[in-house]
Amino acid sequence: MEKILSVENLKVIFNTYAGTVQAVSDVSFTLDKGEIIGIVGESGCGKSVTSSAIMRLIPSPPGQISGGRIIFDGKDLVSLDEKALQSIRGNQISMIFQDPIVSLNPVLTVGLQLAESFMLHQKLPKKLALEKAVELLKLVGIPAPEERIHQYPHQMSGGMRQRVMIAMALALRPRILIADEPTTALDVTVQAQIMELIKKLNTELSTAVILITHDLGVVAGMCSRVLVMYAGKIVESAPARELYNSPQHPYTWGLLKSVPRPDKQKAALSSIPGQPPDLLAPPSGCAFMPRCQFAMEICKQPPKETVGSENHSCRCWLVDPASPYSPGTLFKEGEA
Amino acid sequence: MLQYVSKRILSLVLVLYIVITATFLLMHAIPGGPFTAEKKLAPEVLRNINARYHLDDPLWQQYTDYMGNILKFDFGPSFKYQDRTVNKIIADGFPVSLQLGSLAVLLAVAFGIPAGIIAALRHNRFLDYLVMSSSTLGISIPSFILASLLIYFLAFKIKLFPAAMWNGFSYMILPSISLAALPMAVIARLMRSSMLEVLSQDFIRTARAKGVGQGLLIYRHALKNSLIPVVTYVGPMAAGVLTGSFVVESIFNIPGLGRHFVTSIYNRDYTVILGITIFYSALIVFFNFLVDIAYVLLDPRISLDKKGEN
Repeated sequence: MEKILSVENLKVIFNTYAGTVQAVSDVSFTLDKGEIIGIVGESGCGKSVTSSAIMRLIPSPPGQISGGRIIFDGKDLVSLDEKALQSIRGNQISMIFQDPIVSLNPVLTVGLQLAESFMLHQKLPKKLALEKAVELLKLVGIPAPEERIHQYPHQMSGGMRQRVMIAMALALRPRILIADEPTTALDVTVQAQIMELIKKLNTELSTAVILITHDLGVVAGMCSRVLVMYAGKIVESAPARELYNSPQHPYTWGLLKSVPRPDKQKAALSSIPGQPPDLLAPPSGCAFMPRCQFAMEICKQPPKETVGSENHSCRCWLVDPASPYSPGTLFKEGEA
Repeated sequence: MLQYVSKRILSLVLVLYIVITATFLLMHAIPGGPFTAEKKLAPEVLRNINARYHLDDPLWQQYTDYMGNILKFDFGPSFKYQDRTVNKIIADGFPVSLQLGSLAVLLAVAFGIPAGIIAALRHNRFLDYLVMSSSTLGISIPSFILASLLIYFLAFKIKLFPAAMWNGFSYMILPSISLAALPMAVIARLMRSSMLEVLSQDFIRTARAKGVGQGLLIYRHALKNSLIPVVTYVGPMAAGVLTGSFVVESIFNIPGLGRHFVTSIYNRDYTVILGITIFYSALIVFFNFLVDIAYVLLDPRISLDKKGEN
C-alpha cells in the first residue's frame, strides 16, 4: 500500500514551571492510504498530543516538538511555516475532537462553521459554500439539513453536534482524518452510529483514519492496525487481529482484560493497579514496570523494541530472545 | 421582543419613581435651601420668594405638584438661574456634553479593544506588558492630573490644541482624551482577559484545525465571544461619560451638563438636582437596555423573552 503519513521518532515536550514534561518520546508509525489505525492508551499517555502534533496544533508555549519528523506528501510538517500548515489543515488532514459540546463555536451558525472550509480552501463564495454545507449534513445523516444550517450548536443534540464535527472534518475529503476519542462524550447507541459513520466514510471517500481511543473494544471492529501507547511511547503495535490473538505486552493485557465482556460472567471489571508514571521525571527503565506483575530485575533498563512476525513489535523484556518466558502463556495464565 | 421592551419600559418607570422620591426626600433633608445666603434677606422678601416657588407649601404637596409636572415633562424653573427652566439647562448643556462624551467613548472603544486584543495575542510578551502597564497608568491617574498635563504639554509647550473653551472640534480633543483615559484602560484590560479566555477554548482549536488563519480566527471566531464583558462595562460607562464630567468640564471651561451635577447641590437648586438626576437615571436605564440588546446580537444562546428557551 501507498504510505501517506510517516511519523519518525516524534518527541513532544511541555515546558512547565515544575520542569519539562516528556509527553511524547520517540514515537514512530506509518499510515497507508485508506487505512484505519487505532492508537490506544490511558489518559495522559500521549495519544492526543501525538495527534495534535501531526496537525501542528500543540499550544506553544508551553508545548514544543523537540525532535523527529512527520512526513506527509514528501514534506516534513514539523518544519513547515504557519501559512503552509493552514493550507494543509482541514484540507488534507483534518481532525474530529473529543467533545462536540465545546468544540463548536457557540456564536456562529452550524452552516457557517461548515461552509468556512470551502470558503477558505476553495475560495467559494458564501452562498455556494452554504449549499455544500447542506450536502455535507446530508452525508452524515442529519435530517432537514436546509433548516439545520441556520441553527446554532446549542440547538442540537450531542450526537448531532458530533455529526456536524465529522461533516466539518470531511468537508474537503481530506486524505487523513484524525479522530480523537470521537465518541467519548456520547451515549452508547450514538457511539455506535458515529463509529459506523466514520467507517462508511472511510470506505466511500478512501480517507485514512487515525482513531484515538482508550477503548480497545471500539478499535477491534474498525482498525487494521493498533498502536498501544504508554507514558509517551508506543509499547506495542501490531495488526488488529494479531494484537487481539497474541498480545505480548503486559500493559496490552491489562487493557484487554478491562474491556467489559457481557458474554463472560465476572464479579468485577478488571483494572490495571497503580498510576501512569510522572512524565516530569520518567523512569529510566521500562515505564510500566511499577505496575507490571511480571516485572523482572532487567526491567530497570529500558526495553528494546523487538519486531516479530506479522510486523508485531513490542517494547518489553519478556519478548526479548533471552527471556525465559513465553508471553503468550503468561497472558493465558493471567486470564484463568 | 415586544413583550421584553414593554417590560423594560415598565421597569424604567418604576426605577425613575424610586429615584425621584429618594432624591426628593434626601434633597429636602439637607440643611439650608436655595435662598439661604450669607447675607440675610429681609423676612418679607424671603416669604415672597418662597411663595413664588411654592416652597412654603407642605412637603407632600410640593412632591405631588412636582410629580404632576413631570408627567407633562416639565421639570420646573431653576431656583438659581432666573428665567431658565431645568428643561432649558439640560437642552443647553447636554448637546455639548454629548458631543464631547461621544468622542471620548469612541476613543475609549476604538483604542481599548484593539489594545486588549494585541495584549492577549502577545500574552506575556513585550506588547502585553506595555499595554498592561499603560492601562494601569490610565486607571490610576486622576482625570484632573491628566488634563493638566495635557494642557501643559499639548497646549502651552507645543501649542497643538487650544487649552480651554468650546469653539469647535479642536477644542474637543484634549478634554475627550482626559475623559477617555480611564474607560480606555478598563476596556483594554477587560478585552485582554476575555480574549485570553476565549482563545483557550476548544472551538478555537477546531477553527485552527480547519486551517483558519490568525486574522480570521480573531475576527470571526473569538471577537464576538469575548466582547460580552466589554459591552457590559461600556453601557453604563457611556451613560456616565455622555452626561459630562464636573472635573473635566471645569478645567477646560466647557459649558456642558457635568458641572450642574455638582453646582446644583451647592446651590440647593432643587429642581435642577431632580431634573438632571432623572435625566441621568433614564440614560443609564436606556444604555443598560442597549447592552441587553447587544448581548442577544453577540450570543445566540441569550434570549430576552424567556430563560432557557432557544
